[in-house]
Amino acid sequence: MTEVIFNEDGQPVLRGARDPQSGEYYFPFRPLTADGTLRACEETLLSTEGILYTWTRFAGRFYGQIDLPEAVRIQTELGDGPHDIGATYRLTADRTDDKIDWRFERVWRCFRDFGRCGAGA
Amino acid sequence: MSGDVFVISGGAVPVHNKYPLGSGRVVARDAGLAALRDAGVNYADMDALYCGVAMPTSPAAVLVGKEFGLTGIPVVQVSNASASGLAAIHAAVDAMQAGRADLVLVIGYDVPTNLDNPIAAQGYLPPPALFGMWAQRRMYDHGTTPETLARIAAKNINYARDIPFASRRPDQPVSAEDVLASRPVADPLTALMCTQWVYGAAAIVLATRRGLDRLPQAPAIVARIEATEFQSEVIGPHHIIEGAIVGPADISRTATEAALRRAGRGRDEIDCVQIHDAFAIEELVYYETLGFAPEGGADALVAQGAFGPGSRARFGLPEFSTDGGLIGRGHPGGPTGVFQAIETLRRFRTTDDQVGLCHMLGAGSTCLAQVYGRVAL
Repeated sequence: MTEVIFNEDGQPVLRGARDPQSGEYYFPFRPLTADGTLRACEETLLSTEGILYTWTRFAGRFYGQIDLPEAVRIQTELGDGPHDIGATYRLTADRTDDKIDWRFERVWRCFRDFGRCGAGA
Repeated sequence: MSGDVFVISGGAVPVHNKYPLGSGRVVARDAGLAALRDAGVNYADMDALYCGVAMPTSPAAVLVGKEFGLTGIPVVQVSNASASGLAAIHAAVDAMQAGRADLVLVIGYDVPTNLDNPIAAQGYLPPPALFGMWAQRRMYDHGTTPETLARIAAKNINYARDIPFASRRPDQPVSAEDVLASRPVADPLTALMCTQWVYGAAAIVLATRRGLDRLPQAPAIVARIEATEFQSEVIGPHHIIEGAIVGPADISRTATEAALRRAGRGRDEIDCVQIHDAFAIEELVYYETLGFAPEGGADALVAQGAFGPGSRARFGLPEFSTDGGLIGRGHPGGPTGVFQAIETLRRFRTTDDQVGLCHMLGAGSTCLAQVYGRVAL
């Protein structure tokens, strides 16, 4: 099941699903709604930026949960730190052969992040 | 609950990671023999064998059954990740209340044939990372400190010192400072706040009232399974659908409430709780989720010594993880829920405890809650 695809601009996007009746979103994509009524979901592309809900470091890697505007929570690897709950994170991905490695990386915006400027500034 | 079902005996082998890979049949057999002997019965007296097995390369239940005899009884394998043991008990109770069996051997066992990580193989993130994240969010929301988690872990490890088959049995009592000083795992979790990767087996014999009449001698004290509740997750906001080993906390609340309702018991009647405490953050949150502390209020109770020895007398609250739980006694997978039943029976036979609660999650997506009551025959 492909969780992340690249759009026509070459940017990574999350492949999700939407319940056309309730408007509820899901990740990853699922063909049927989660309420057990066997209704079909619409395939949809989810937001690529969200807010860090929590994070930790284990065995040299960072992991976090990102809340997207669609009320979907993504469990994922994070890029390098520092990390702060409440900060904004963006989806990034690398494509090698037939494999896509994706993660969320912190977005630094000068006016918000005390002078650190970088991606997203 | 229609048709009483009792836990009449228990048996186990030590919990550790030194069993030779592929030795699951022997390990399960030894635990089963211990439970049968404790009940004074033979395998030939059993009407069914139920096995709780979590790891995919542990031996099949039908092969384990052959270790005891080839007697024609149904052999049922139940797999629900970490909740496999309680799920096997749940399935056995269903069969017994349906009139299909009066004496049942339930064995939880897990010894794999290789060192492959079954969790990673299913695409899940490493469990310590997931529970580390849970702890971080708790700290953010409620100001929980690593010291609070350390107190819970120390309590459980010190309980385990009195349990012969526990995986952690330090020679000296462990302090919260010792827990904090142990190897960092996933901030804020340290090694002693986490369960270990271990193997083992535990077994119990269940009996209906007709089954009790078949025993050469019924034991003086047994544990009646007053309720067993089995639920799975319900979709909700910000629901992590795939790989959610942590899982929604709400499922623990609803399953426990349903079990208490079915048993006709109130929380104030619960004397001991065997909880899914694979990581110390779980036990802390479950104090509140299961209704024994207000949201955000468990930390203060832990600081005063609640939920440990003497908790009932001092706080009117049950003791949690009295055999050390998953942190102290260990979490060998399938056996864990059966260990919880064994510990509940032990508490009924050696303390004043009258009512016990057992709780386990399976891959964060299923939850079993069982209420046990002490019965003097």
